[in-house]
Amino acid sequence: MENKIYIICGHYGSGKSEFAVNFAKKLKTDNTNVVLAVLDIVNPYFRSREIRLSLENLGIDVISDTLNSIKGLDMPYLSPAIKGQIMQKDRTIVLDCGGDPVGCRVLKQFSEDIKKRDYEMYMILNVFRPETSNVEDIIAMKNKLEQESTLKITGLINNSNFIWQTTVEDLIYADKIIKQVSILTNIPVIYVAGLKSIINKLPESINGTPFELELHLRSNWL
Amino acid sequence: MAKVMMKGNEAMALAALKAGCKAFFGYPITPQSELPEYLAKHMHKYGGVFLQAESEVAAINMVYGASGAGVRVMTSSSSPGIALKQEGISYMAGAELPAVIINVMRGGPGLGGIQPSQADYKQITRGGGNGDYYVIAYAPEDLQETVNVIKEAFDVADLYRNPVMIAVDGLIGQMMEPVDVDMEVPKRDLPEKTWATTGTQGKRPPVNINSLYLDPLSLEKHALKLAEKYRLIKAKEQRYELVNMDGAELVIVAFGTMARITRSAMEILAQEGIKVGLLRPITIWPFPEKAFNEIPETAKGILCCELSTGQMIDDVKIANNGRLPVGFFGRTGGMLPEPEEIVNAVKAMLGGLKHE
Repeated sequence: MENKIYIICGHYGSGKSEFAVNFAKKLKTDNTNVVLAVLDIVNPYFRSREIRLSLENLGIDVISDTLNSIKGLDMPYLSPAIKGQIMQKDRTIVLDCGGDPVGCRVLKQFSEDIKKRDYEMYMILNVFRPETSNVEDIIAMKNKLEQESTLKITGLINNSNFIWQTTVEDLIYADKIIKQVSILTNIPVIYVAGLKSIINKLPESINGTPFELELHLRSNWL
Repeated sequence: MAKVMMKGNEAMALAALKAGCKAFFGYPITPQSELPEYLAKHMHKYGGVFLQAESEVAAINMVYGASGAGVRVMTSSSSPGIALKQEGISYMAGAELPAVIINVMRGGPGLGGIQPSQADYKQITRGGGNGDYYVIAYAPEDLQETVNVIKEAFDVADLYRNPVMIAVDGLIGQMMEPVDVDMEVPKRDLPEKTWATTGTQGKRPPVNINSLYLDPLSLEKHALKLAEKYRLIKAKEQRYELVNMDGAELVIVAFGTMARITRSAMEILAQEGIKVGLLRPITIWPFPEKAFNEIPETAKGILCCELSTGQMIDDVKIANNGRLPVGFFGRTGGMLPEPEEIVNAVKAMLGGLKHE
């Protein structure tokens, strides 16, 4: 698991940042040197930079912008430190991208350096988002994400959800669609992600390793 | 379309399309830009027109034009952008033109910030522009309710020939939630738009869309006609929700995101044996004065909670009419309280009342 770059990308609103934060925490428990780099310059709310301090307390370095992650900052620029981190091969880096192909475009400036390292690029999928609800649309989205980033997606994450209202049946329904995508694109389903309340109830036949999510960016009352 | 996961701004755009909106004119501003972005992408599939105007002022005047031609039309913006649109909104109220205007509120005054706020309450409920007029304003608390009121708002705008505003804060615009955009909503019985400038075809006299009345007697007559319309709207369109009112010691008045946070605060308070009710305005104009008649005898006070320094509180005091003490809790500038902060405000108020 060491010294890899994990790129978290996907359609807008499919849960990339929540997954990226949880994934960085998981990597940290496996005792690696973890950096979470935020490339999201699209979203004004619910950004992983908002919880920088609590992640840093866990020993995860967070790099977003040079103004120390002020909440509500609406300036579309990246920290120059991100490139430095990518070139430093002893670090495990999680890159939290902005949504959609436009969010992935930001990756292009780093793609040559990324290709010099061992990388995984995970596409986060919520089939209950209207624009990634079927096999055809998901594959079209995948192609655009690859085209904009000039990188290859190496894994699919079934993160299909209705937040608190998600059922096991919802994830099984999503699994059928995502399995089909996996067969057609030859990209494996790496994880099936969900809240604790349902993740332990999934049937063994479901594709992907169950990945328990804790919501960090969404308040409990929301 | 069954239940789907959508971002508030996308869901609001789709709701407008489902309601038969055929024209959108707007100008981007955070935190509502996903709304025009969605319509730019999808409006053509519904046979409508999307246009990014050169400014907010241009956009609202395009709305005036489209509405005058009898077309279902919408614009959206966020607080400073809505402030720029006030001239056009006043003209539309004067010319009795229907339109739906979405305000995804952010902190102010001035450019303020981009985080959620309810500090446009007075601008929305007091007219905002010049003259004797009101806009009908809905302040929903979640995406399903937002979608439903937008679909109804187009009918309400047409029925009363008046602009209708959807007042949500940035959080509702930005958050993801499950929503069914095809849920049935009440339909209004709408008259034909005989006033619209659709062309005479040589068969009828021309109609005028106008807010200029130089003869003061004519203008007074027009203003009185509008006042009568607003009286009717006040009588018929007040909407609200009452939660846990039975035996409540204290009643919180809150709308939108603040009402959601209040619900969590109420759960915490219930665990400690403190009974608190919620009076949630769904229309902020007309303000649901009727709901205050349903506050039970057990209530010792009212706590008005807002994402501002206190704007709705004046309406709460008018509706309360001196009956109960009225307290206030608010966060502003884009800050959202934790439910515990409301819990503490409730306890402080109840503690203070016991000493009175």
